[in-house]
This record gives sequence, structure tokens and C-alpha cells, in this order.
Amino acid sequence: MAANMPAAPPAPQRSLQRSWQRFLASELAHNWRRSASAIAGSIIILGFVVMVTAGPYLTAQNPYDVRQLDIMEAFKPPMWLEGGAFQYILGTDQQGRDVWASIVYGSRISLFIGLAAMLGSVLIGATLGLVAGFYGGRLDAVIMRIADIQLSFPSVLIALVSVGWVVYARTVRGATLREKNREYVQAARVSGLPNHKIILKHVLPNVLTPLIVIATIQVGTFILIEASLSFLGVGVPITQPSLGLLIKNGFDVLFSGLWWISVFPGLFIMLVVFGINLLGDFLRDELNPRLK
Amino acid sequence: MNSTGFAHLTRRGAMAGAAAAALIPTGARAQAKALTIALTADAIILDPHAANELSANIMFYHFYDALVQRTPELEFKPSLAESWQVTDDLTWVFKLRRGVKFHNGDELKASDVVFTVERLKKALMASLVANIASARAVDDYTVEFKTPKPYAVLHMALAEILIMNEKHASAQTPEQIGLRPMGTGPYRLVEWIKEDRLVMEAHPDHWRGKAKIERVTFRPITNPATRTAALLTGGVDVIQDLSVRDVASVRANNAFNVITRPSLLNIVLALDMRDKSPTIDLPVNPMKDQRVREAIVRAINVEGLRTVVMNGFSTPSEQFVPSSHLGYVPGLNFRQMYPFDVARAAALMKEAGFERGFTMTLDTTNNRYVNDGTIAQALASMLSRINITVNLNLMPRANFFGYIRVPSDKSSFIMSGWDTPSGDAGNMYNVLLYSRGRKTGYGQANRGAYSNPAFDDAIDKADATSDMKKRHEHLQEATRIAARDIPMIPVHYEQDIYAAKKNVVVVPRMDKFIWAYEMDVT
Repeated sequence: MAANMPAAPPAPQRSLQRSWQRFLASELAHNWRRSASAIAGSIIILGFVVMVTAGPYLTAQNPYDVRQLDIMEAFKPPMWLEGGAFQYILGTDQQGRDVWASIVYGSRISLFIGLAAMLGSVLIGATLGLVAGFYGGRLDAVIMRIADIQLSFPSVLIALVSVGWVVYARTVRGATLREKNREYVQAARVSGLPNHKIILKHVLPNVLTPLIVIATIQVGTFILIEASLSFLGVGVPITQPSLGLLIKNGFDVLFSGLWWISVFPGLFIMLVVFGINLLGDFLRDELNPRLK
Repeated sequence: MNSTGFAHLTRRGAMAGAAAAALIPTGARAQAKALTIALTADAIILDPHAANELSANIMFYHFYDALVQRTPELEFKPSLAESWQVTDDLTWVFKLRRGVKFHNGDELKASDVVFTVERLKKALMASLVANIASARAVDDYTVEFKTPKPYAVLHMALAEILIMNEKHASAQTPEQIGLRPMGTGPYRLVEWIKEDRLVMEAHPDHWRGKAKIERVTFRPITNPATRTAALLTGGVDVIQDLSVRDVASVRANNAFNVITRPSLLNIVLALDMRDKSPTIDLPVNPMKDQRVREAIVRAINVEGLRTVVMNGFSTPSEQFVPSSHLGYVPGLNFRQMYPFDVARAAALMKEAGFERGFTMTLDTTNNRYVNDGTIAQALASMLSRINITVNLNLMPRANFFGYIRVPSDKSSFIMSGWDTPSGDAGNMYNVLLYSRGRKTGYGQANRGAYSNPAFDDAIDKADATSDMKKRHEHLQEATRIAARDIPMIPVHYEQDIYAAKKNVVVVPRMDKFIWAYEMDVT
């Protein structure tokens, strides 16, 4: 995930292998190898992705299949505590769901929502930002005012994509304003290319860098927002808990000494978002020309 | 730095002065006792003729009185009526107490009682007056009731009819009555901010004498963990429904008392028995078959719910009403008639031709009954073992009761709680199991559209006798029929669990009402 992204934009359509070699030789890869935090972030993310893809093979129980739940197995503590069982490493919740299995399955939902919301936001935000920046004028004003209005809503209140796009739109618009007056764009204009081709082939590749940085960090943010929404009870269905809903379920009995139901999913979200942010910070430092 | 500190202090001083009564902590001043009570939910409406739901009921009895009063142990004693006598099989004469004052200063008259009965006939809770043919004011302090048939428990029924002021209520719109209650009760409303707090103050001219606690605030706190936290941090003095998982830790804390008592609230599952059921995708409703209903009972591990979900704080239901009630059949026990047995349940499903099961939706609340959401999920898991896929439709209670209202055109399977504080199974059977639409005031909450002429007949007979013993026998017959037919599955009785600061005297009531008039702060 981390490897392909930076290499993609400037590279023309050549063989994958050659791009990979070019990437390994690049300054980015060189710096990555020397940055402990970037490596740590990548490992966390890699582990997370493996866990999400291998999901069902890592758990004995499918916590979303009510047939596999047994109420008599509920509230088992983690296996190293008294009363714990080896088959439930991190204990069980009030339905007898294995907390570890719930984390694995919940992560799939959380990551899916995080990625989907990010992609949706990028698509909408980048398009609007390019259009606003490139054409300017009244269109620009209208789009940017809508963005301002959107920004004034707390993101938890309205669905994820509907607020995520604004950041991209603003960033891309700024970059587009800068790029559109550069010589290569002027040259493309003079040569008579239609506007949509100029935007897609010339402007877009050059405004992609900040987009990647924001997108990385925003996946983490979206996972957190989804968790908050589920915690407030407006997220996923109750029989298919995401990480946020797991925390909420456990919160109801947190005072009663049954801490593991919410603490483990909470720690897990923290770890994943931490990893994403580590890598995101590294990318921001590396890809921002002003910091060089 | 200094100036901000000063401003802060003065502001606090001003606030404390302005709202002294509201802010003074419990017991700080002997002559103005205040109490804050956290309930699990807010009332939907404050019109006692328009709702029958625990949180609302609790509030009604602070603002209004009935002719007859129910004690915490469910005995019946005179209240607004000083005495009564049965003059013939169909006639009851009630003598009213003199000098009873409404909150607005009016004196209670017999005409107010007659007005209340008339108003109820057209109200949502018309079932309360189903057994009153007429009410007549003989003089200002005497009311004569006629029953359509001999009816042995009219005084019990009257304990649930809260008396309104004729002059006041007829000048108000229903909306106004629903927002601003005005009765003879020991408390009057100060303010009601929905879903935040309801504040009331003692009615100085109350006929029993002014309440010991001057000011009472009810706060709806839905989340059990938040409720416990509010008690521990001192935000409230008493909480209703302490979480079953928190009992041990609160009990271990010296500053608080935990009070438990078995509840009358029976958690029941209503099974749809219509030809076609709204959420079942089969051409014919499988639950019409008694074997399928029996399979459902047998697939439910009530003991497991007790030990795990309820942490031991529930009592598996034997019947629809507890043993203290008229209509209870000694020795009859659902748990013995249909013990938990998945293999037998699966066999019954196969016998009925539904081996492959079916899908339906369970409608219930997520903030009304103790651990309702958890129970619902557990039911889904248990029923999946006999191939019944249960989709969950969990609603906040504010939506729930409207959603399932008869004709329950959206529901196949409903979990709700039912308590029968009148001490008489008839009150439950009339409303929940009597055939729909056969008799006014009967079957209005018959959510599964159960209809059995033999059952109706037993109820008719029970309601037509003035002999308590005979009534008991007819109701027992009805209980036996219902236990055989399984139109409804009794699951368990909750345990009422309260927690309070040590200095608060809480009197737990069998009907789970909280009545501040009976409480005190020392």
C-alpha cells in the first residue's frame, strides 16, 4: 500500500517491475529505510491489512453468525485471567462473542468504511477542486462557499463523505491555481488541447502529491468517525458490531469490572490510527517540497 | 488572573442566591428537602388517560389521585373516596372525602369523578372504564357506579382511574392536559423539559398533609452505566434499575444502599397468529401452528438469560401473572410444560413442516426493559438453532409503543413487558389476549391477534360475577387455555433494583412505582 502510491503519479505506463526498481532507488525509499517511525507505521498497517484480508482464517468463531454464539459463554475474561478460556484469547462479550474475533471482523467493516469514505471524498473533492481552481470565477466562488458551509457542520453529525470532500477540494483548488499558470499548462493550451484533457493529463498529476498525504491520514480519521457514530448508536447493525459498536457494548458494563469488552477494541483502534498517522506524517514530510 | 477569579466567584454567589431552593444539596436545610431521582426514561405524555407506561405512570400519581389507593404491597385502601359499599350486584356507592383541594384551589366534587369517567370513555385508556356502565353524582360527595355485569373488583379498577378537575380540564385542549397536569396529587408541576428533567414541588394543601420532600426532580437517564455514574458522582440521589452488573460494586460502597425486590413486570413475547404475518415471507404464517409456537418456547433458554444476561436478577416466569394474583394456577409452570430443549424444538419444527425454518423480525426496545437489547440478541441466537432467523428491530421506547400499536400491521414478533398491578389476571387478559374487536374496551393490545372463543368465554364469565372466588376460577381456566395455546410466551420477571444515597428512605413498591410522597431524606 505504502509502496505503490508515491511511484504511481509521475510514472508513465511502463512495466511494473521497472517502476518498482525506480521506486527502490528513489529518495523516498531511501528515507523510508532510515525513518524508524515510517517503518513502524508501515508494519502496523501491513499487519492490519493482512489481518483484514485473512480475517476468517484467524478466528475460530464468526461473531456475525448468531448460530455460533452461545449465551452461556458470555462475559468470559481474557485467557490469562481466572475463568478465562484458551479459545477466547481476549475474552467474550455479553453475547458470547469472542472479543478477538469481533475485533478482526469489526476491523473489516471499519477499514472498508474508512477506505470507501476516503475514496468517495477524494473523487468528489478532487473533481470539484480542479474545476474550481481551473475555471475560477463564479463557479469557483459557488463551490468554495458550499465547502465553507459544509465545514461549519460537525463531521460526526453528517455522514462521512459529505464532509470529507471539502479538505480535498480546497487543497486541490489551491494547487490547481498555482499550476494553471505554469508554462507547461500554457503550452498545452496554446497547442489547442481541450480543457478536460489539460486538467486530467497535466494538472491532475501535479496536484496529486498533497492528495495522497491527506488521503492517508484521513483513512485514520474516518475510522475514528465511524467508531464515534457506532458508539452513539447510529452506525452499523447491532448484530454486526464494528470497532466503535464493540466499545459501546463494553461501555455499558465498564463500571462492573468487565473491562476487556471495550478496552481491547479501543486499544486496537488506537494502534491502527497511530500507524496510519505515523506513515502519513512521513509522507507529508517527504512529499512536501517546502519542507525540503 | 485575579479579576477572572473574582468574577467567577461572584457569578457563583449570585447563582446560588437566585436559585437556592433548586441548588441546595439534599438534606442541607431541614425545612426544604429536595430529591433527584433518575428514571430509565421520560414520560411520553402527562395525561393519565392517554398512556399506560411505567415512567409516565410514576409521574401521574404525583399529580393525581384515584378514589382508591394501592399500597406498596398492593392492598387497596380509601383515598379520595372515604368509604364505599356494594348496594346490589351492579351498584357501588362511593363516599368522597370532604375538603380535598386541587392544585388550583378548587374543591373535589362528585361531578369531577363523573367527568373523569366520561372523559376516559373516549380516551386511549378506555379499557380502564370498560366495566363501568355509568357514573352518577348523587350529591356533591357521593358517586354511584353501575357496572354492566356483576363485577367483583371495581374498587381495584378504580385505583387506576385518576381524577381530573371538570372545570379546568374541559377548558383545556388535550395537548395542554398532556403537558400541564392539574389534579389533587401531593405534587404539582414546576417545569418539564422533555428528555432532560421534570421538576415538581409539594402541593401545600394536599389532603394527606404536605409531602416531606419539598422538591422532587425526575431525570431520565437511559444508559445504565451513566445512571450508575450519576449516582456515584452525586448528581442524583436515587436511581431506578441499577445495572445488574453494578450491584456488587455499589453494594460494597458505604455511601449507598442497594434495594432489590421481585418485580411484577413480566417480559413477554407476543407471537403473531394471523394468516399472513407482516415480516414473514412465507405465504402462510407458520406461527399459526401450535407446534411452531411450542418449538419457539422450547428453544429459549430462560435460565441462561437469568444467569448470564440478568446476572441472577430475574425470576423465570411460570405464568402470565405472579402467584399473588387472581387467575394464577398453582402447579402450572411454562418452564415445566415446555422445558428448554433444542432437539425437541427442532423435531417440532420438522413435524410442522418448517424444518428449514423461516425469517421474521423481532420488534422491541433498546432502552425500556432491563438489558432488552442484549436479550433480543440472545433470542436471535437461540432461535437460529431451530433455523428461525430473527432480524432485530430495536427501537427507543418513544417510537416503540406507537410502532406496535394494534392492529400491529408491521409486527410478527414483539417483546415487551407487562405488569398487572391490580392483582388480577383479568386486567391483563382483557387487554392482551381477548379477541380483537369483539367487545369495546377488550383486546386493544392483542398484538398477535389471538382469538379463542373458549378463552373469551372464560373472561366473559369472570367479568360477569361478583363472587371473587368464582372470578378466580374462571380466570384460572383462561390461564390454562392460554398456556396450552401459547399466544404469548412469558419469559421472566425482572428484579427491581434501586440504589440510593444512605440518607434517603426508599420504599420499593410491588408495582415498581416510585412515589416521592412515601420517601424521606434524613
